[in-house]
Amino acid sequence: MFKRILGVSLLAVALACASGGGSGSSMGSGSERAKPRSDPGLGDRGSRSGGVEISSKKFRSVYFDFNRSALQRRAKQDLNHNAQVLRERTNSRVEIQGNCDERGTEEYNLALGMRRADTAKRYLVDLGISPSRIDTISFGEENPSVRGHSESAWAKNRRDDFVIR
Amino acid sequence: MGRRLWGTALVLLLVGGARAEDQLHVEIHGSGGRGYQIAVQRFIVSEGAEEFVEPFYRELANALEFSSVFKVVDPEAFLEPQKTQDFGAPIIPCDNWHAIGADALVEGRLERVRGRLRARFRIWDVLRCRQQGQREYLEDVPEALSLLARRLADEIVERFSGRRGASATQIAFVSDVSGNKEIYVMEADGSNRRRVTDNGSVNLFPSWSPDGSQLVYTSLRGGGFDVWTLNRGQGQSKRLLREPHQKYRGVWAPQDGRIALTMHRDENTDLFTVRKSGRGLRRLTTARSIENAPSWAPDGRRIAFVSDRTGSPQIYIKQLKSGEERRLTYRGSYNASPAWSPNGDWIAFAAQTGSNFDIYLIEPESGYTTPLVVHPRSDEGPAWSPDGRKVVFSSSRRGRKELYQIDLDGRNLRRVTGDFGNCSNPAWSPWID
Repeated sequence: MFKRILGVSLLAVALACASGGGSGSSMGSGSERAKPRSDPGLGDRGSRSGGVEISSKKFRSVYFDFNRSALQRRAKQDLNHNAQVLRERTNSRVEIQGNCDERGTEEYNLALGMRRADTAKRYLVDLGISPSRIDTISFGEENPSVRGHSESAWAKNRRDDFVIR
Repeated sequence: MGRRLWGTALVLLLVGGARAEDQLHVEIHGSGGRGYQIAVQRFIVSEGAEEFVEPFYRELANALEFSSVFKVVDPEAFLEPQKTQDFGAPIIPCDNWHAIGADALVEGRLERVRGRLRARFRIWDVLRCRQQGQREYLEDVPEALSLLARRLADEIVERFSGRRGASATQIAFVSDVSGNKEIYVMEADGSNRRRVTDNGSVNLFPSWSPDGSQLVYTSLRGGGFDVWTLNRGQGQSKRLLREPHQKYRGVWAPQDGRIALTMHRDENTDLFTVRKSGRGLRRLTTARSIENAPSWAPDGRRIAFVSDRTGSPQIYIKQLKSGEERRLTYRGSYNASPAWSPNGDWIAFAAQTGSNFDIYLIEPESGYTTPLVVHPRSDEGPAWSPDGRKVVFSSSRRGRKELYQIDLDGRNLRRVTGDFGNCSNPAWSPWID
């Protein structure tokens, strides 16, 4: 229980950082990451450089509890925001990239990342976004935004990123 | 618990071979000693092969010790000349060998025949003073000296234990030493590492075809994880399936050309099988939960896998014919990475405690569970040697992930990679002839 509370509070800190410096931390890397499917892989887009941010343009990344794919209140707020971005850019498609922290096995995390992407997609569709505008992909634990083996690093890595395609 | 393991291993040793009557009884104690003391003489050489004698001796001794079946007797203790004197003699002075504690003796001749290297050897059961076998090997190039020595060692192991050794096999694995995760292959003892993929992407989960000629692996190349096959002779990878869904962890069936894999389709992660040609796709699981991490039973009729249908990842077994699925693990809240042993008796798996994994063995029928590797740092991704004597796994006990091997009785823990980035996803090859 204590861990859970700690996790949530750290998550809140992480989110505060992410949203506070939201536009700053995107820092143009978003455009580099805008064509993930044509990329050869993650090596060229940040996992080597020790983590990048991530959601492109005005999107916000969405964060999850350990081993969970359920949407917390803050995650729903960020998804509401992302839905609004999509409504304003009616011609754009988005790729939701599910990610996990380094704990857990690589294969289970691939599935968990996919489930996190699917969860966000369903929520956006419920808000009226056409499913044909949304692609999903999982990077499992292969694309951490933060290097490190601490709860604060893990909390930032359990996320969905949103990338314009 | 250790005793129980050894009991099982011992029975297998004794019933394993067709020539069981000719074999010595391996006496393995509960404390886990080596079965045999073996003396290895320097081989007789013909002209042109002198330079190979010492390296050949070293390779042979190392490979015999690698098996964990033999302990090589210190040559300094020899009463007899260290070098074979009269290869082909009908008898040897067994009493002298026995006196220094040798249960077995290897003698042989090494020669060059028109550019090729020929090794002939005999092995002796010193206790009964009986020749246990003889064989001749011919290799094309002297560079194959090491392979020749290891094949010889594996055969000696078979003659005495009923089960071939695995020193002449290979291990495929993932390393990020180049800056991204690529697939590598090395010899079973960790030597001669070489890269087999070079695509700058993320590559995971190598698995060998039953004849060792092909690898199936998972790659993010081209966007999205997908399963690729690689013919080792040609070096060209191709996608196994055309479906545009995320797929990963293809695992070759032990007997035939089927591959089990995980595919994400219609917001659901499930297990499938497909022929190596990419045809005959068949869905194995349908639950709304995550089903992945397949591992074939050696009979090819059952698959162990991971499902979180009860809310946490646990290991299940599916009968392919009847479709029946049975939960296997109940202890702990995160059990994954099942790996079925080559003789079918055990499933190795990784169990998470806190944020670290330990490796356990579980009997697929009884559910009896015993720890294999328990350490404060994480040990993950177990895979079996083809002789079932060892498990290779990745461990973060020194910081970065490195590969280790351990015997089934928990002895002879040995690091096989070092200073090579993070290494993970080991897959031990079958015997390659």
